[in-house]
This record gives sequence, C-alpha cells and structure tokens, in this order.
Amino acid sequence: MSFSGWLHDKKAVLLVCFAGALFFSVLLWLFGLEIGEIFLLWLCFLFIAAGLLLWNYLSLRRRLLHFRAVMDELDRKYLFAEIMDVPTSEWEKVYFELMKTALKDMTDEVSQANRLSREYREFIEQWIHEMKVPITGIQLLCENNKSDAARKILTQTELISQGVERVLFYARLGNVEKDYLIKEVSLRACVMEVLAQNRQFLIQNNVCVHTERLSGTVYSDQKWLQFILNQIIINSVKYQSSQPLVIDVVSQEQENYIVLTITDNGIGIRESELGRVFDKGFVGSNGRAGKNSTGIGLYLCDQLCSRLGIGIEIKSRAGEYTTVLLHFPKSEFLKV
Amino acid sequence: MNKILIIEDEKLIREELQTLLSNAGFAVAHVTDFENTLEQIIAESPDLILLDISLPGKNGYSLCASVRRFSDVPILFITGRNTAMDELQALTLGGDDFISKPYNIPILLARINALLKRGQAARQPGCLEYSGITLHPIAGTLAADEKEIELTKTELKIMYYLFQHPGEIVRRTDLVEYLWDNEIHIDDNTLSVNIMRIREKLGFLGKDGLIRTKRGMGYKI
Repeated sequence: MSFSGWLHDKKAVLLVCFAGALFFSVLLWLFGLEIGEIFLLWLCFLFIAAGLLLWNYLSLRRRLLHFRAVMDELDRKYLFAEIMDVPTSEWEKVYFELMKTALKDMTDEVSQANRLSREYREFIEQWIHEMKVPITGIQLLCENNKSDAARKILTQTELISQGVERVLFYARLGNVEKDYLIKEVSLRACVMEVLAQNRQFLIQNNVCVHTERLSGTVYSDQKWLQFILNQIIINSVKYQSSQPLVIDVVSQEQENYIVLTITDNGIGIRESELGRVFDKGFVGSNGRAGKNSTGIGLYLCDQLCSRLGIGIEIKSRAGEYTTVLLHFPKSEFLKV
Repeated sequence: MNKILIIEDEKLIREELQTLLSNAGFAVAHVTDFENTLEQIIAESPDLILLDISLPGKNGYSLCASVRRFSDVPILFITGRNTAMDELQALTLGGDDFISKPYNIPILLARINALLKRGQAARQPGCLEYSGITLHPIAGTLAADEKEIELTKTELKIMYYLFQHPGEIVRRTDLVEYLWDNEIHIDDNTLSVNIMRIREKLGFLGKDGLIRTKRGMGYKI
C-alpha cells in the first residue's frame, strides 16, 4: 500500500479536518485574534494531524506487511484465515469473518472435488481390473481354439487391451511417484515383452521388427517403460506408409546415456508439427487424415518420461521415417 | 511331467488355462473349494503353483505366506492388479514371479518354464532327420550326403518347425507366430524370402524339392 494511495482513501477525513480548521480560524479571527497567533495555531494543528496520520499509516502498513508475509509462507493459500491471528479492531473483525466464511466454503468445495476425483479414479482402476478378467478369458479361448477368426478376434482383443491399459495409466498419471519400482531392467526383455503382448496385432499388420542390435540394461520401472514402448510401437503401426512396415529397435551406449532408438519407415511427421507432438490433444495433419488419433499417446509418454527421468525426443522426415529416442541416464553408483 | 496347480476363482479362465497348460505338456490340477485351499495344495503336492491374488476367502498373499511355511514350491502370481505395491508384496511374501493380466500366452509359458528350470535348449534334441536330411539345431546346419550348409537363425527356426511337423501342412500364419514366439519378428513377405533362400540352400544339397508350397495353405515337407 503506497502512502499516496492511503491518503487518497482518507481524503474525506482530511477534507473535513481542514474545513473545520478553516472554519475555526475564521471564527477566531472574528473574535479578534492576531493573524500571527492563528498561523501558530495552524502550525500546531498541522503538526499534530500529520503525526497522527503518519502513525496511523505506519501501523496499518506494518499489519498489512505481516499479512503478506504470512500469506507468502503458506503452502496452501486458502488456509489463510485459519492461520491468521484474531483481529482486535471492529472493522477488521467483520472482514475476517467474511473471509473465513468464504475460505471455509472454498475448502469444503475443494475437498469435495478432491474426494470425487479420487473416488472416480479408484472406480476406474477397479473397473479396469474387472475388465482384465474377460479380456484374459477371450485371449485364452482364442489361443486354445486357433482359427483365422480367432486370430482376428485376438487382434481386436489386443486393441481393447491397449486401450484399457492406456486408461489405467492415464488415471494413475497423477501419482506415478507412489507406484514405481526401480530396478535393473533388460531393454531387450522389455522390448520382447511388448512385442509379445501385441503379437497378433503386429503380425496381422505385416510388421517386421529388427532387434539384433538391442542389448544392455537400464534402471527404470519395467511396467511404465513397457507402456511407453507400447505407445511408440502402436504409433508406428498406426502411421505406416503404403510400403511394408519395418521397425528398427537399437540400443547404444553413449558417455552418460544409454539411448534406445525406435525407427520406423512410416509416413513421418511434418517438420512444422514436430515441436508439438507431445502436446496434449495435438493431432496434427496425420491424425486429421483419418487415423483415429486422440493426441494422448505421446503426451502420456512425455509425461511418464519426465517422471521417470528419461529423455524423450522425436526426429522425423515426412514421408520417410520417424525415430523416437529414449535417453536413459547412466549412473555408475547404482551398480552394486 | 511337471504338475501345475491353478488357484483361480474365475471358472472360464481356470478351465482355459487348464486346457492351455495340458496342451503345453503339463499335468494340471486346480482348486475348486477355496475354503481349504491349503489342504488341497498339500494333497496335490504340485511342482508349481499359479496363484491369483483376489480369491474368495483368504487372498493370494496370505495363501502364499502360508504355503511358504512348509514348502519351497515355485509360486507364480497371476493378477489383474499391477501396481508396484502389488508386485512388491507378491515378491516379499515369497512369490517367485509376478505376471499381470491380460497376460500373453508365450510370456506365461516362458515364465513357467523358467521357474521349472526347463530351458528351451534342454528340450531340443541333438538333431532331427527327415528324408535323408539332418538338421543340427545347435550347430545351425543342414546336412545331406556328406554335404553341409550353414543356416541363419531365422532359417534354422523355420526348418526346425517344419522338421517337427513332417508330412503336415504348416500354415504360414502358424509359422510366423512360431517365429514371433522365438523372438524373430518378421512379416509374411520376409518369410517368403527366407523360404526362397532355404530352397536355394537345399538345392545345393540336391534336395530342392523338399519344401513344397500348398497354394493358399502353407508349406509341407
């Protein structure tokens, strides 16, 4: 609060004061006081008024600064009214009451919303786990009764399974930090498992995957890593060009990183859109060309990677290839 | 023959798992009464237990802990839940491995085999023979009439599968699936290319008519 602003607020009081002083000086002059004496009285009056005003201003300023300091230190700002010391002045008490009521209402609202979203998330997780039973049932049934139809059903089931998995990970995104188990993970085993999970889907799409130059281990959470790889491979299939799809999965050791690159010969991404592929809901020209995109897959990958400490990067040339690079930091001290 | 005990409350999954595992050459038993599961485990004395976590009555974790009190039998957890907590709990209570639904069948079988320490190599016989041609899976060679040729990994797997099904028509899709299960991820066209190369090599051995194409069906030796 600036001094001039405060004066501006007080202008009615000031005006009344000076009008009063002027009135009394005229009265005193009429009673026959000397101009000099009146001038002296004015001086005294001004001095007292200024002192009072200054003291008033300074004490108010100190109080406001105290409020500000408390607010700045608060982690949850809406708990302000709970933290503040009870005011003494009457007008402040009224403000305090109003604020307390408003913030209390807000806190209720927030906790209500939190509870609803937690319940919703728990319901979704529960539901997904229930869904996994019939999906597993279908997979086993198809596996035990192999036929062309069963293979097609299996492909569709893998698609359902991917979709369900994606919902689960999206629901969990908020608390990844509570749900990971970092251990030494073999990149090869990880990729193999992802390929096996989507076996029918990939075979039906005539995909060829080269994994000869894939080895090494990284420290990460296998489940989340597989989810990321899954999204990348599904994207490759989704955006394949007219020629047969070939996916190259290669691991490379660099000075501070182990780099996993997944390259396909698909339709690629336009250079102008490359910077935005990780944005939530970004679909791009490929997606709009009827590829059934949601703009969620790569967003999820990016979010998960940043939480797991993996660097993700995409290189592409439209019509030629798309490469996704995953950088796993190497930490020597983790080796036991 | 190894005996596997399935503890799973979903009837359909239990039955299909049973079919799948008996097809894969295991003796399979299952638990139907979840009141006295422990007694049934003792009675069956299996070589491996497939254990679901959410069961009626006692859940899979406490069951696993109880089993560990008297037996070291390998326990493979199968569950729809796959949070880190579930995995950690399963492993700390004495489970040997953890696989989440919906599981992929080759992965499931691979994990079971790993736990039973029945490696792929142990099951591969020294060599296979068909109409005067010998396939050495370990050396990766085909031999006939004192002549020998080397095969690539993919070619070897294709020949191995064909030699295991002599006189049968092997469907292309079956062959591709078999290759995918053995970590060779190729498509239909690449399979044709590989078959062509094998035929060339067989030609060198003087057996170029060995692999016959059945149009629209597959291959036959």
